[in-house]
Amino acid sequence: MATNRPCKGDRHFCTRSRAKVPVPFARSVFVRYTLRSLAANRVRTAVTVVGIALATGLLMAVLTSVTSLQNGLANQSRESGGVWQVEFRETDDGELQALRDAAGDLLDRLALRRDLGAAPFSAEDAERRGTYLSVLTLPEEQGGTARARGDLDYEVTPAPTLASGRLPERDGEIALDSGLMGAELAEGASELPGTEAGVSADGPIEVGSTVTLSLGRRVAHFEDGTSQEVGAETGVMYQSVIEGTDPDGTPNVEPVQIAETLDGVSAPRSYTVVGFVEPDWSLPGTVAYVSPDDTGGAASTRADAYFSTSCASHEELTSLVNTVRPAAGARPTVLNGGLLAYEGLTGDRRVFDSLGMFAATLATVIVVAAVSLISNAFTISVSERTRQFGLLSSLGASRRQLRGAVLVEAGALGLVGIPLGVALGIAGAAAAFAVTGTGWARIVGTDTAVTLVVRPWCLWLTVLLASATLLVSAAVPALRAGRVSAVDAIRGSRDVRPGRRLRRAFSRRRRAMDDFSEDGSRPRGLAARLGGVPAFLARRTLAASAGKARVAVVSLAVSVALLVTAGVTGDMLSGATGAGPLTMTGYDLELVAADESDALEAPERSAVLDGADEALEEIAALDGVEGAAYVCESSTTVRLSGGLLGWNASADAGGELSGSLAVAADGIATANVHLVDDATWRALAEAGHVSPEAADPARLSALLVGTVDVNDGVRYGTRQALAAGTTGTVELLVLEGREGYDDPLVSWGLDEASAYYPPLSGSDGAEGIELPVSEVASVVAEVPTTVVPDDLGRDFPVAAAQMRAQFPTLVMPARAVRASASALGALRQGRQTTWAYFYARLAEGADASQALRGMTDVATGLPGVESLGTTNLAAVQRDARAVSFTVRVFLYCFAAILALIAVANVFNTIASGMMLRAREFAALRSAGMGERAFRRMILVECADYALRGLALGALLSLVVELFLWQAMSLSVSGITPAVPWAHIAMAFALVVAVLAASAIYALRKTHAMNLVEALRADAL
Amino acid sequence: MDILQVEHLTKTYGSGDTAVTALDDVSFSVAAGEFVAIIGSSGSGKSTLLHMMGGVDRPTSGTVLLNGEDVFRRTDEQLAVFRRREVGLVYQFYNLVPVLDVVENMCLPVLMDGRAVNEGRLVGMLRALGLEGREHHLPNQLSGGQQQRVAIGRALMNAPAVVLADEPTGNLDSRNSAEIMALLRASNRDLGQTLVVITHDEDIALSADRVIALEDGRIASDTRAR
Repeated sequence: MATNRPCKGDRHFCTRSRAKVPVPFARSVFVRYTLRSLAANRVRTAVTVVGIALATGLLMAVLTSVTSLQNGLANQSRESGGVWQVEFRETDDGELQALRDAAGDLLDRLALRRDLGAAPFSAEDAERRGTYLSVLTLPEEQGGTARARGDLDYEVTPAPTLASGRLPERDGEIALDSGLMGAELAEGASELPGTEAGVSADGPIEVGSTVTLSLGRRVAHFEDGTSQEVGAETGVMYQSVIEGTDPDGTPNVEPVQIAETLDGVSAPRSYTVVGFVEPDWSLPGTVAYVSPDDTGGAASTRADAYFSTSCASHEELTSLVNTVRPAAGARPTVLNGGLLAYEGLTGDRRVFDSLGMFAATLATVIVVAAVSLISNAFTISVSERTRQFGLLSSLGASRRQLRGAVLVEAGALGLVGIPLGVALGIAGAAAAFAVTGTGWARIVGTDTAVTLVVRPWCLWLTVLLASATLLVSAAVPALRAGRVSAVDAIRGSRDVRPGRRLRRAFSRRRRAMDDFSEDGSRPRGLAARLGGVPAFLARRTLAASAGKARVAVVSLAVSVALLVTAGVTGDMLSGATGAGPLTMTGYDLELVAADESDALEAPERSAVLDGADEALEEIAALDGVEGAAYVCESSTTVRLSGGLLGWNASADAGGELSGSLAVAADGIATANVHLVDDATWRALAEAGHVSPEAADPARLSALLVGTVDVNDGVRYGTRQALAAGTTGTVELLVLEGREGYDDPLVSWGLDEASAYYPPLSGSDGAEGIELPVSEVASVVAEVPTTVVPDDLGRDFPVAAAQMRAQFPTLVMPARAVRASASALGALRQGRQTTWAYFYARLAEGADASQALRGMTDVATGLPGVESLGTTNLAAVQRDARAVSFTVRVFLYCFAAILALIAVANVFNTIASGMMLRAREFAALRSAGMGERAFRRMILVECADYALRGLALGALLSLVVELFLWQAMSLSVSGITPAVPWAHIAMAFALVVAVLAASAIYALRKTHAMNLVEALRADAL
Repeated sequence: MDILQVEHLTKTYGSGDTAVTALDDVSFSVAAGEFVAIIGSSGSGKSTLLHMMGGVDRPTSGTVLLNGEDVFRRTDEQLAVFRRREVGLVYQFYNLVPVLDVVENMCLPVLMDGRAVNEGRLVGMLRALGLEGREHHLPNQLSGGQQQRVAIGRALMNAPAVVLADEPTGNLDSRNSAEIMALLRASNRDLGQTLVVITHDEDIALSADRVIALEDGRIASDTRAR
């Protein structure tokens, strides 16, 4: 007895050693047994572990990606709007104390912004700057809060952005709206009745100037006699005044009179201007900022409190707000809705945002795939060992112990697979974000790259979901393991039990020959008639083990659905982000210039067109510019004739071309005209687009783009209106003017084009007139034209997408048009302003902004030309590429992992299922089944799986697609659900390939086993 | 006339130091209608020999001639045809196809050959094997003895040149054993079926026309009864 022996070490150990020994022993036997059988079947164990890891990893990656993105969006919101969740307007010390008391540790950060009042501008200044100059203090964070959330990277509410100088730091300093930079203020009466201007300055305002302000508290007076103090965020209140009546008798109401007064106006106080800030568009009028401890201002100042909390739910937050500030109060309370949504603190739980719903659908797909994969693995693992379980049961293992063995197996696999998956998922997501962080930043709209955020709840949810998946997957096989009958198992009869259908079929057979066809030469049934004995055997196997067949079919279906989902997700995301960059041209910089409105007084010329060549020369000579081109854009009325009349009118049968078609059946059209510089025209000639005889840019000729965008309201596509190479003539038309009417507008119906002459403004009551274009137009030039495709190469500065946006679109040499008074006249008709787009290609390492400045200078230097701005095309393209790259990386990762799961699934089911039948196969072969017949049998079985799997898989993927589509349509319009045939076909092909590979692998394996061994295989 | 000739048959498993010679230069022949018992201790090479005679396994060297034709000159496909026409194999563990019923299992070699099932022969065999009333049962609905009778039926169905049985009674009780052996012997006696049986059972060995004893892959003795 243990108590008689000297007890060494812990006494508890000694006493406990008397407890039932067999239990831990028995348990350890089962653990050992399980681990050994796992080790014995290395391939299957590895496939299962990899499956668990993949599923877990994908889950983890999806969750962390979504939370990271959400965090990115939240950070963008914090960056631009601060971390505040609630704003208490018109707060006071008492209320803030109440807030501190009620919130306690929940109060995270708190900032105060005081409104010192407003000073009215003179009526003259008010026209540009609004009625008042409102003065606010910079927001100041208040101490003494818990700061539990720890997001100190952002301000509670951000200080205004500096345009120049610095922000005020002490009493008496002020930062003004940048609109006041250099301004000279007028004196005199303000817009307020009987109030003088309260803002004055010593000359033009700049940093260092002194401004003098008389600040008062705005009071709005309502028509019912009540009045209310208002702050900087409130727009000026006007009173409606009735001034006479309209011709039809209704009173003419005009809001003209300001219904506000200024109370408690302070004595004038001087401030030193220390800087200028960018205007805050959310505040009306003009705003200035002073330091938080400023002592000036109106007699009574107002304060707004901004605070964030550590509240965990919307309810907690609202109840806190309601405690401090009961809802009925007059003082407004504002919630930072955008940020609260990203923080998950909005009240409306029904509305899943697109991102969340997308993630939920994908997570569901992943969980279903994981359950299918893992439960397949377990089912196979258990049925492989049916005899072992029977033997164990005959040796006295209880059902519970057998169930336990399977669960121990699940635990062991999970212990390895889940942490591996979590690590994989995080590593994968981290890698993906490391590569795509800036791309995400572009999508989300922040400057800083979106980084990976792993939230503990994601980790726990992943582990929980994976464990639950594992448990569910193991539960059924575990139950089955417990139910294995010892007798059955030891007798070695395979668990083929005739299904009800098969039993019924057999029960109808009486005579021995009933099993065969009439002549006794083949088994009964369609399969045997069509495919002989192999097909018969295959069908019989499928019928006899319907359950196993169903498992295989479901696993194939899940795989098909997974692959289709991957494809559809890809389409939706790349469609939503516009993966095809619209601005793909070979040029890096763009400058837009237009005729200055004054130039229209000489309508026969265009300053922009006349100066274009000179400007181009100067731009090409700029530092860092390697090449340059221009395109002048105009439009004119034309008639397509000759071969061009054959434009495919029937293409518009369904009205698909609406919006992109500007041509009538008789060929009369409003054409977009692109006039290009000499070099560009010659390049077009070199590329073969321009016929050799038209290669001289001084010769009047044109190219017509033959492709056009179509849009049936749902889908986008392109149509060929005219085949490239078609030649014909474009007649440039001039429409005659009409006395008393404005320039005509051309409209295109299905038959004849008409010109509408609107009445000149001022001619009361007159109606416009509409005439057929053919009656009022005269041909001023006939231009030989060749049809070209929409893509004119990288040297052509206008993108193909733009060239096919409207039909007809013409390209003509600028030189020839400029030289031809009639052509120019046609282009200038209707006093259309010509736009010029100058393009420049940057040398390697050249400074883009310097070149852009140079281009602007060139354009402004031209007489009669106005520069309308520049675009860094290279940067735009870079951004577009970053965005599409990001989406692609995620898509490919997702698709790759889904495909891996699908492949593992198919392999597991098919290969294991066949390997289990090694002995049956051997029996068939020893009974004289030839290799060819054997292959045909397997082929029929696999084809059966594949077809049923495809049908079910297609159905499943449609359901998933519907959910994804719903998620997407929350944020993107214009996506219609369509049966993704291409993806289904591709998925099916892949699944069939994997099916074939698995079957071949399994057959190799069973064949590699000596026929002799296989025949004796005791399955133990 | 010798229907089966085994010449210098050698089978080696593995290679180098770990090579095991299961059969070592075994030669003998079996006459048509002969009932041969092959005995020997475990690992003496009995089953290996039988499998090679049945075209299930290929030898390392040596030939097996059936009706004067070299079995292993055939391609795998021809070997399959050979197995279903020329030999009938019976195993200790029956090796029936689990998804086929009794009749289908028995007729499998005929069907795979694309020939019509002879109803008279089938019914006669079912009666002889005592499987009447069990025609449409699946193997797992049968006892061990019944399953072995189905296996024998399958082996005999094509009237093969030789039936090779590997311990056909090894898995059965004495009553079933006696029945199975009676069936085999009857086929030998009544139909002139050539029969090669591997056995541990002395009684079976004694009832054979000829007993070949194997020891360590060699023929230790080859005795003809009477």
